[in-house]
Amino acid sequence: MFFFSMLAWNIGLSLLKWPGFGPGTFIGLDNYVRLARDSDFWESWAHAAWYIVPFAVLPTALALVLAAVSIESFIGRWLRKLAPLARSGLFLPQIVPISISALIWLGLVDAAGHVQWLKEPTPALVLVSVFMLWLQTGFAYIVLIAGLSRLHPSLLEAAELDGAGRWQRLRYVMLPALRSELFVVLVFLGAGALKVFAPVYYLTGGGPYGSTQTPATFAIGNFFGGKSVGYAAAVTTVSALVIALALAITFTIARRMRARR
Amino acid sequence: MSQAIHTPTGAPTHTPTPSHSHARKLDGAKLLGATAISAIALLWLVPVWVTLLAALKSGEEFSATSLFALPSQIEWHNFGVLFGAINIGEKIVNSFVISGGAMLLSLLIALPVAYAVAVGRHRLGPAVIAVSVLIFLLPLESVAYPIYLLSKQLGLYGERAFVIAPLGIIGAAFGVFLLSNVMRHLPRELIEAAELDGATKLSLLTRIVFPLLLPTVLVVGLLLFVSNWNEYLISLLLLPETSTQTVPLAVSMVNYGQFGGAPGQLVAAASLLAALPSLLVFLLFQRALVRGITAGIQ
Repeated sequence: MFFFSMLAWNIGLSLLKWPGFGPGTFIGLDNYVRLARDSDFWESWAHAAWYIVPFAVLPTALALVLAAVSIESFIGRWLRKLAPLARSGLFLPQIVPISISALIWLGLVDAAGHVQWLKEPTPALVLVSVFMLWLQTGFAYIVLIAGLSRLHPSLLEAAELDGAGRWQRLRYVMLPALRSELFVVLVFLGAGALKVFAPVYYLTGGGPYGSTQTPATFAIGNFFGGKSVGYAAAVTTVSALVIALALAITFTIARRMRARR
Repeated sequence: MSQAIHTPTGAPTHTPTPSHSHARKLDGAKLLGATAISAIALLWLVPVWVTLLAALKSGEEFSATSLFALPSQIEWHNFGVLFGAINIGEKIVNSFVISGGAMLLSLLIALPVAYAVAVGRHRLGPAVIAVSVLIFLLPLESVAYPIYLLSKQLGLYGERAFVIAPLGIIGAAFGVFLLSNVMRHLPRELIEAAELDGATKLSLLTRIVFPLLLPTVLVVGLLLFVSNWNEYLISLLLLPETSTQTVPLAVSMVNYGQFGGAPGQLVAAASLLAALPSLLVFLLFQRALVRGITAGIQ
């Protein structure tokens, strides 16, 4: 209830022309009309769409390969002792506050003498993307490992004895078993990518020249940049709508597919 | 949604299958795979390792040596500065109060709701689950500003207690989702037997369900605590005074704010302190945490 009344309030704000103090004027959908014409806004969505790759797709793909190799390698008296190391190493970025890990990365970039990376659009975008990959791989990894450990080891060995190579074991034995895990991970991370804030905000603040800007950093800049609260509220309302819509579509498709099987 | 609670995580447990005898002779492919994965995990740890080294160096040594050089002698001075000039102890207390308070609030809301949904099979159950998922997948930014306005209108702007409320409510959505998923797998016979014995709904929850789920509840609590500890947006908006700020906020201040461009070794020490509680929780309860996350998902 609380959450949705706040959401409704936000929608209300989005109908006002209001700089954040004094009285506001009701201007109907004008903020949305302005948004539709704002190239910065569209650009932030283009970035959000791109961030799905380093925030959701790449971590999931990398984690899938890592998990597949792990499940077949960390076997036996000595090698299995390495499994916790792999798990904690990869999962650690999920535990450290993002504001802090961003600070650490900035320090690393600085110490490596590449500060100019943050001042040029393309290197900044690449850096943010690599940071996202570092952040999210661990989440996908532990979920997929948990899914794989439900498989009986003899299943994989039987496949190996039958002459299935690594790739075939991944494709025909592991992937089908991981269907629900992959779905959940991609939905979580995909939604996360569309609303991503902290990794961008703390690494580049959305700059340079808006080249890493996301809808979320764009909105926060407008809320507190003293520009227009109503306008920023319109941005976040659109974000919430887009994500809700994307989720609705995803879940409907998933249900249809499940029904067909 | 398969059987979730007791799935083993991490390495598969030993079963007397051919794999055992197979593994006796260390075969090349396995060794190579294990080494590659471990190497990647170590690569992932580089930023944290470098921070640890930097935090223990003196200013001169930090600027003179490479990032990867071990400190010649361990320097506690950086932490002294943090506790002295920046009063980070106060921030640690703030963070504990806010994270802990919000965690308790979340659990107080989530336990009865999850119980009604999963065990009581309340007719609104599916709707409640859908709403919970929506709450933690929708962007926080879309409610952040109204929360900020509300705090001003209620005259609670800058109060730590007011930060607890929204964090607790949003955490509760996550708690409902996870706990109801786990509760659904409780044996029905147990609950039916207790009902026959005349147990009321409340006593069922407190006497039977809660003790059974205690480990899961603890895990959810820890997860919530860690995510609250790491929270930045709400606390950034609602806590203007340095005396009420949380550790992550204070640490970004060390870098940008009044200590703008602070020396690297100081920032490193502050970062380490900020991440420490979460790291400890993770290292101590690693298996349980991972199991908790995956249990909610399957």
